[in-house]
Amino acid sequence: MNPRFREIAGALSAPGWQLYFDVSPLFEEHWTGIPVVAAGLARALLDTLPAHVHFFYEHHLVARAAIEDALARRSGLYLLRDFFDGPAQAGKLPALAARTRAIGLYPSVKRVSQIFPIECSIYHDLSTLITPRFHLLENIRHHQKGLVDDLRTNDLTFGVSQATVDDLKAYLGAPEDRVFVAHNGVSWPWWYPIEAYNAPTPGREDPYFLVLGTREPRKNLARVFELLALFPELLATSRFVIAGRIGWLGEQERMPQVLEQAMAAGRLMLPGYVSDFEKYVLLQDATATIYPSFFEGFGLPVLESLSLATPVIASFSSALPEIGGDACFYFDPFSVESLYRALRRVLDEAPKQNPAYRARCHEICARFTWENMLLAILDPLIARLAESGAPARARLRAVR
Amino acid sequence: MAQPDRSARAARHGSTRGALTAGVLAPRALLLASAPFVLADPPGAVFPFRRCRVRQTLFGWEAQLQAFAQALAAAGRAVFFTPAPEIFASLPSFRHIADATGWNEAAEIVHLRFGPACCARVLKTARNALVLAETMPRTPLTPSHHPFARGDRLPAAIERLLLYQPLAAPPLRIDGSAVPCEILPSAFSAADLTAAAGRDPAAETGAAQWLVCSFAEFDATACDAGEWQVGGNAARSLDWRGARGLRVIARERGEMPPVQIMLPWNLADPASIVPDLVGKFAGAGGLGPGFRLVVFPYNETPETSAKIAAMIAAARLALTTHPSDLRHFFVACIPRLEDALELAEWFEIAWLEAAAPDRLWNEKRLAALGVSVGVIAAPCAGDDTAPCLAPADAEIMLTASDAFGERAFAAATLSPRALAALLANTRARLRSAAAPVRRRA
Repeated sequence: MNPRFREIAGALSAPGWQLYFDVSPLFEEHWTGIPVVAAGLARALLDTLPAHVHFFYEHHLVARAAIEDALARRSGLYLLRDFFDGPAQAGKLPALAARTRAIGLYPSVKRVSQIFPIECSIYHDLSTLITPRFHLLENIRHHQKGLVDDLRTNDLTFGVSQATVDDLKAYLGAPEDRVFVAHNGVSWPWWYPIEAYNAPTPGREDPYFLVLGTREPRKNLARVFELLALFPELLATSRFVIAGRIGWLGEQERMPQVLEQAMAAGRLMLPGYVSDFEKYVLLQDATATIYPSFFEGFGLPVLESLSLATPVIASFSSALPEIGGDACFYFDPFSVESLYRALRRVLDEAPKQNPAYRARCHEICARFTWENMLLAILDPLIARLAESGAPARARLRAVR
Repeated sequence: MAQPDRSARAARHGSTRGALTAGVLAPRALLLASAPFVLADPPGAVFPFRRCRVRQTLFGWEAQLQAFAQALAAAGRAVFFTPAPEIFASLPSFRHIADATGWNEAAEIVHLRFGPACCARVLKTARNALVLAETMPRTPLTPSHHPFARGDRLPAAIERLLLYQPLAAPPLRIDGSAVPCEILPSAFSAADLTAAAGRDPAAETGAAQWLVCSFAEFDATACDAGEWQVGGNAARSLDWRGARGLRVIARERGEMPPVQIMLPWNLADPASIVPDLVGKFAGAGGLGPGFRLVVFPYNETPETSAKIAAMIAAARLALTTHPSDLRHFFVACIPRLEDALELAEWFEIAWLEAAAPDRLWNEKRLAALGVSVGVIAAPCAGDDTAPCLAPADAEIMLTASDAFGERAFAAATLSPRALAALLANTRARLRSAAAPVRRRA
């Protein structure tokens, strides 16, 4: 554990500050995107500041054991059931008068806000504001509800990338001294490599490119279909696996008929949602992953792929180059020729076999840990508490 | 009603004229434009604007961008286009801009955003300017969580407003600070039309010809993201050929041809009364044999495209018992500038909604083409730009459910009784306009 956490624990303990972490994203059955981030932070909080952290959902405390269980399962299916049936509930949040030294930490949009004297939340992207064409109306409205209000009611706001922080400043005018970058992390359970090594893997010898992500227009899967339709010879030497649950506005990502033959021949596979472990295995064995997204606040699959030294062919859009650095092969998300060029480079250079490339991937990923993300949140928070005479202000707010 | 002095209002908001080259259009800057329209098949993330295939060359964001680019081309400046300014945030993306445009990284990028204030976007690290043709944003009655829904606030990074005409109350940045304004020279409204008029008419521009069909012919199944047409080929609209033929023959015979009226329809305006007016005409049994109404929808996107089909479906329902009257209503767009130049020949008048946000810009375009204009549904008489043919005498509530939330608008409109007066006034106006010509003849 980073020794900085002991200092932070000390800084929190003296005035008696407690952290309240919103676990609402963990109630999802399948964890992708924001729930993965919430889980990573919850795990890091339990490991580093166990005496200071509590978990909550709206106005209720959530039992720590239930969170531990969900983190072990990497799913919120039982957490959701046990919370609404009762066993996972741990009572109401402390009364308002007893909340004067409480810090609310929200890993995403606040379901209820202004209930703690100090509040911080994480913005993952502003895509519902900037690229609403990629979203369903209910999704847009859910996110827009807190878009400005969360920023206004936060003491500190965090973006998962510099690109997101820049968007917060450029669009919403987020003040420089109250908005910070907290990059997501990447981690796999320790037993995954062992299980993957021992798992039966029929057909593993046949190379494949992997496209990972929910099937929705923002992910630009149509560009991959276009690639295969225009350059079908790629299917002769490589398979293409497009994994991820069906999202929304799917008609825009419909597979062209010309590719049905490739699907029938097993050269193009669409397995749908894959479990976390299956994802790990798919990533590990892929020749490269393709991430053609039009807009990303972070791009977790890029990092997941690099963490296993699997090269990434990524669009140069938004936050992706910030995360992938010089380990990715970038292309123009509007140009299939550009994608083809990047893919041919990967085939020619075979970076996965290059020890220097693998070392570079590990070097990049070493920076992206959940502990580092938590530190990026807590460091400015502690500084803020120290400089602003927070206890007095907090009392005032609680009274108000 | 007396109008406040516009120049005085502009002065209050710091508007300046003629400072463009010293301001955002600095000589070495790369000019990168964007607009809310969605291109069916963009050739890349950045490309010269001249490679954009404009669908509606006369009105809306596409036309504004086209006229702007032409005005700059005349000054030897090239404008590039990006369908998605939001994707540029890192070194590889800016390297791509350099590769695609020859941009020297020592020079600055000026991002010119077209479209309404509520759809403003920024290109990070660039100087962002919003080119605004809207003078009267629609204000919803209902609140919205969307920070820009009311059209009176802009993203914090917008540095400058380029206006076609002074605004009484220009939008402010989200933090409430004022944005410096500049008034565009008049050439920026019609430079493309002027250039087209000077070109060889036989020169092939590659753009498609008129897309026009009657409400009877319209094929809703072929209506997909702006590619609406008649049975796969718009040029074969028999009703339009009939309408044109009727005019030619009537003139040859010295008879009065049916009056052809243009009605521009801003699809991005949630409180437009065009569908209401068309519906009322249809409900009242059609326009009558002496009139043809051609609706020009613009600012068409995959989200707004369905409005055209919905309006026509409603008219068809209302005219079930008089289906032949559907042949008097048309829907059209003009992808080719050369065709726009002929409009004065085919249309006696254009009706413009008084409260349309970009009405003044449309007036300038039509004036450049020699099409006379009449304002309709003005909330009060005495408009200072164009004569009002029928003042509003009714109000409707219109709702919109889109990315800006559930919004309700109160819109001034015309009752069926006022529509009858509108037709009579239109005919009277045309007669009085034609009278001196006859005397001269």
